[in-house]
Amino acid sequence: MDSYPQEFIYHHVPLMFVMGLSTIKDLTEQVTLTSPTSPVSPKSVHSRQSSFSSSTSVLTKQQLSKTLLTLLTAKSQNGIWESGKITNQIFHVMTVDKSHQFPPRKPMVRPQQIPPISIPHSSLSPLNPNSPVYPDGLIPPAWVHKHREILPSVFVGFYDLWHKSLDIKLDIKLDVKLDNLLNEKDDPSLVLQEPLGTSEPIEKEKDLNLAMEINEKRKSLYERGIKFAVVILLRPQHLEEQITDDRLAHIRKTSGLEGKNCFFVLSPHADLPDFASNLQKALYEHGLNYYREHGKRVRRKRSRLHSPGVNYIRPSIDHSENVPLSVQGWLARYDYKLATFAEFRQEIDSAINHYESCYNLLIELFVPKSPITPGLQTRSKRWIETRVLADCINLKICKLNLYIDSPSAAMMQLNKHFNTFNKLCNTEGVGESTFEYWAWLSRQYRAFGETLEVATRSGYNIPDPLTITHSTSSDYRSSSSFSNTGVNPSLVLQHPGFYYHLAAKYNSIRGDKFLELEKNLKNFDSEEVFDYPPSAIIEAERHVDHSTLTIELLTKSYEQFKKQKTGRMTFYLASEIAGTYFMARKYDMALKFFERIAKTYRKENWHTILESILRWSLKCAKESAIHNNIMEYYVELLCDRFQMSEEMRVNLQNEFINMMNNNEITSSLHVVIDMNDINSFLNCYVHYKEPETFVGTSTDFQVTFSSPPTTPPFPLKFSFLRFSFNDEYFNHYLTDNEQEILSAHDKLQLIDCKDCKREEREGEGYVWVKDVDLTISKNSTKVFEGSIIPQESGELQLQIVTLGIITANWKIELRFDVNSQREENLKRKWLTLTNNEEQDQQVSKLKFISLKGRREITSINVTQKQAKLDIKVKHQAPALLDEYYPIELTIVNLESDDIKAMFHAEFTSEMHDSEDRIVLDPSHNGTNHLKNINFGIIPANGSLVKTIFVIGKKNTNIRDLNFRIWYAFVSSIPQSLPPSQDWIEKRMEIRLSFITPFSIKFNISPQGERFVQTKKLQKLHHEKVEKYLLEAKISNICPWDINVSTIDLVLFDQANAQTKMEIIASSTDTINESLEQVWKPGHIYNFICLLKLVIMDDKLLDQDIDIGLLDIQWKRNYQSENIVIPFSETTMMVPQIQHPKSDISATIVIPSNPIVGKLLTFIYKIMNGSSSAIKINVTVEVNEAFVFSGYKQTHFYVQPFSTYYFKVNCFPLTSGKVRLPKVKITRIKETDGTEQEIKVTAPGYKESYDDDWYMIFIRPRKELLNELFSI
Amino acid sequence: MNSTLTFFSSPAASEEEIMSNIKIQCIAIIGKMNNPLYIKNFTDTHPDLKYHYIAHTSIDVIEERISAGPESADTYLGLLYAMEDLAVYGYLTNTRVKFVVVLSVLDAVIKNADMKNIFRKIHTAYINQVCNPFYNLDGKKSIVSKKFIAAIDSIGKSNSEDISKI
Repeated sequence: MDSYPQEFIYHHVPLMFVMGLSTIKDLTEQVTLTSPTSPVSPKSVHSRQSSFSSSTSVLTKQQLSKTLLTLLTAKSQNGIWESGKITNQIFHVMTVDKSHQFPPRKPMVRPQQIPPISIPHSSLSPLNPNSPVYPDGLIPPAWVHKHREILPSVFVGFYDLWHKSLDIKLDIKLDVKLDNLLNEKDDPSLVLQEPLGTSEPIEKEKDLNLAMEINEKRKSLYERGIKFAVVILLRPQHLEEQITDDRLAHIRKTSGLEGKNCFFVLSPHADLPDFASNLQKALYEHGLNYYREHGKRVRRKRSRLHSPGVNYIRPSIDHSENVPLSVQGWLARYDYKLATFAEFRQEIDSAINHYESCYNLLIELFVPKSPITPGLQTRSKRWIETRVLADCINLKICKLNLYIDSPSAAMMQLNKHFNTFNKLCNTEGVGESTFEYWAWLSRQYRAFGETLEVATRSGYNIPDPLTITHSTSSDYRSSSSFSNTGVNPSLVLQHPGFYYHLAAKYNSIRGDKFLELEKNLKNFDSEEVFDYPPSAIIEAERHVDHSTLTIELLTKSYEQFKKQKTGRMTFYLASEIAGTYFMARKYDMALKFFERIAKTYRKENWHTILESILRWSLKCAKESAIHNNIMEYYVELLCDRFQMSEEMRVNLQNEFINMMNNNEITSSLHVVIDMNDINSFLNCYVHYKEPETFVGTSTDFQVTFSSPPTTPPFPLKFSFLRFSFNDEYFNHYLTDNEQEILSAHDKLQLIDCKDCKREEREGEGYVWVKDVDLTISKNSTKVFEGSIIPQESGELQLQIVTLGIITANWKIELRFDVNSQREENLKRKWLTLTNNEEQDQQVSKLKFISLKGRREITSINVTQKQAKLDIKVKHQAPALLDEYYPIELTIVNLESDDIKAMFHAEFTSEMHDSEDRIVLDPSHNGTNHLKNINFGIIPANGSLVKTIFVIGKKNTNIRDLNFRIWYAFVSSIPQSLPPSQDWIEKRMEIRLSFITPFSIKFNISPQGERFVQTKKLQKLHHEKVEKYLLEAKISNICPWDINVSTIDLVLFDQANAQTKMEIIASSTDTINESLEQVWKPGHIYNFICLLKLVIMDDKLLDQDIDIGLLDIQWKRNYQSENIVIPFSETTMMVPQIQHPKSDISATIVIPSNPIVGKLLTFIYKIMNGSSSAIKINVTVEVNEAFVFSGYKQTHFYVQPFSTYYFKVNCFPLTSGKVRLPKVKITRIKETDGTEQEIKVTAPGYKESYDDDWYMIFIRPRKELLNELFSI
Repeated sequence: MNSTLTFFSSPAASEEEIMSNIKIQCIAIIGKMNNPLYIKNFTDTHPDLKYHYIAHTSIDVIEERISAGPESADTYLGLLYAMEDLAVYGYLTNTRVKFVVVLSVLDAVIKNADMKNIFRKIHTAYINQVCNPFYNLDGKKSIVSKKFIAAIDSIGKSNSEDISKI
């Protein structure tokens, strides 16, 4: 589009000149017509002045001018695409200086008065010899330029109204100028009228001056038919003066601007944007009128030309060699002008009509041997000019049709243009066979695309093809409206990308045609055979970089499609770009593009396209010697998904092999091709026979390669096959055994690789190696069966299978990542060799057997074997607390090999502060677990018996005990200690319930007390001695016999220095050393002990007194056991002595051997340990067994630190066990008279409780006994 | 299935009614994963590759149309685009299988009814193919059924021969 004159392309809008606002720097589009000699204009003086007095609220003159200009020109786009809607009423605004002069024009004369010969013609007319179109040209761009930029339809002058405050010093200077003006202009119309009400003479003068200036301008413009309007700029000072209105009215009147919309006043506080748009709106109609007048003028001329009589008027031309412009030419010229003026008026429909008419006339000019015209000479200057004009008109018509929303009409015009010129060019020898035609066509599409792009950028929406309907011409079934709706695809407007694409395509044809031409030029010297274009054109074409241009166009198209988010279309374009780069021998660029797009086609399975891309890539790679990728292209092209003939495949493979053996490549190349990323010609599957295996067990796997029926066309020999496991130890590296390739091969081959040897290979490290046949033929299946013995548990994965070819220069690896997810959901199959008996002969046959499951299994779960070990546990539950509880473990080795066993035991239900222990040997102090106890070697099928002891302390919870035995074969004892994966583990858990063996009841009875005085260190001490009887009733409550060795009371060291305790006598003292008793279940044993407590100072003692622990040494009485179980020790805390806090105590002394009828005196010994006397009250309750003598109730005082003996005399009445008369001794406190009963203790008797009172046995009288015995 | 049955029992336009200005250049069937199922070139003016590209690029336009338009069972998508001298029409089945028909552009109106008719025929052929229990619906391989190929051929040829009579 840029190749066309922009005057022909741009959209026309009415032109408006603005004067009096411009400062040259302000706007770039300003027409600089100022003459340097122009006098200092008052405006500039004013502006300087106003800058002094500028207030904050009012804009300075400069600012005002600038703002106004910006507003006026803001919307006047001078571009290709206007919005198309005429509602805007916008001018194209240009600024001119005050001194602006219009170019000279031909005198305005009435046509009918002019004699034909002496017509003064416009400088652009074909009739003017100085015109560029003389004598037979049509319309030069300059003509359009004249109307677009030089001759405005409306002229607006901005003037300042003088004010005294603005101008003082320069008065004189201005006066001089005024005089000059008055002298020069002797115009009678400028007769000054006396302004009414002007008091200031200077003001009057100034206004008059201004009015004259305006009037002069108005008149000069009127001659040209240009509308003149004036804007008077007011300063704030003007608003304050009343005479301003009068002054303005005066100026208006004087300057002759009394018509409508001629005179505007801009108040300093006016809203400028509003003013700017209103000004344009007000003058718009005038602008249209201007062009309407022009249109009328041209139409008049055209009609005169069209009338047959006028034909001869055409002026004769002096230069006979030049044929003047034909009538058709003149008509076309006038039509073009009409169309242009219509466009200026924004009358789009009318413009289209005129342009179309002009276009049709232009076409006629081309047609040779037309009755009227001889036709333009092909390739002549005029021919080219005319075609350019036709191209531009075509674009105009298309564009205008888009303005009025008829894209189909636009397309129709476009098609018409192409068809017409196709025919024209073909007949004139510049048709499809020439590069010129294609260059032209490409340019047309490009220009159209660019126009459309500009349009869409400006907001034009390309209609959705679905909404377009074209009515059919054949209406034989018009009844059904549905059936008649349809689309004419050639009339559907699409987005610019399509047109750029076509432009690119035609440009590439242009390039081809030119190359063809060049070839012909070289081959044939004589130019007779071909109609060659002029050498200048050929020379120019030689400088055209066709491929760069094509790529530019394709890229433009690419951008458009990218914008439309049609990714696949961009891929197509990318492929075309790549192709163009290839043609331009820019192979690396081409490769880049091909590589980028290949992925998508591969992913979406468009193999035909992919094949084409690969072949192109291959060519590029070969040409540019990018070897790395060559092999990948070859390998992928071998895939059977690309449909090609057998011969092509053979050629391909030959090329592939030749490339590998190509000695031209000096450096050695290592290429790894990931077969998962490309279309592979081989399928590779991996299967383990079982999904799980055990350590040390031989595990089989098969790797299957299957080739399709068509490829590789002839057997392909690989150099090596590598299996890469996640554990490198198992990596296999199979090499080819260099066997002759057999023409007849088996379709199914099983290759045994179980007997690989472990060797070191260069670059591979230690691997399992074997020489096998690594030839891959078409339509065959090759199965490699291998075997591995996992060394440790975990996941063992065959990750990558690599087929490789090694030549002198190349190392090519085809990498199958078998581990990644692949699509096939195949049934698992396993190839086996089966022996069948057929006709009495053993026949081996390969056969696939089905394995369980689907999908290939590339990884296998290796676990340790199930332990073949038996643990038997023997123990006698329940266990007793504190005892060494023996558990007998019998470990039976069921393996066929000797094993080494490690033992581990622990409580699983561990208590927080447990003192439980597990020991192997009772003589050692153990912890709560046993760890890594070496049980030694257990022979195959042998067994081992071990006893461990469990000691439960404190509480009788149930304990869970966990045994673990790890074992390994003696032949391969791992380095690490268990627990580790290398040991085979056997677990066992048992529950133990614990019970207490004994129940012990304690009873402590006080056995009297006394005060003792001792003399220590010359000081008299007052000690108190108390005696207690400790009785412990121990019963065996467990279901076993218990062997008790000793029972002992271990006294604590007294915490209080005031007390001393010792054992006076114990029931065990009678037995020497050890007790050694066996207690049956339910056995009760009484342990009795007399204790003596010495209290140094009774007063100071205020706490309970510890006694000690009862310690029992015992063990369960096992029968016939070999094991020696040590005695256990159970200790029991003896309760404390509740030391009486009271300072008074009462003891009863019961005489021995009471007999019926004999006086019995009970002495109550009441001891006062305090330093004050205590009052005691005594009450005696007599019962039937005794007769009592004395006071039944009495009271007395017990003196401090003394003992009071109170006697009760009784006569027993009956014999036998009787209760003593109860004596209630109470202490009466002097202070408040409260009573407190004092407990009476009886030495040798058990303590009495509550109502229970001491019982004694009364013997009968002797005589009576004697009587009885005598009888 | 019912809808499909009624669809095909509706009176389709007879062979003669198909407008003579339709000249089928290529018929393409594209799977729901946008993989080509069958692409047949009826001309010798353009290479197969060209039509593969066209079929592939038309997926974009089809996807755009589907996302823009309302959901419906079977969709005639109309003119997808015109490129050079070729007009590309699209149709989407309820199983998201795409049919693309490429016509050579003559400056004439192509009636939608005619195009729909052609697509219906292709759909019939495709349904017959799908009814084969051994045909893998989700497969990515091209359709190789002889019957299907013959059916597509007859659709393409009957319309390309018509043009030669003009």
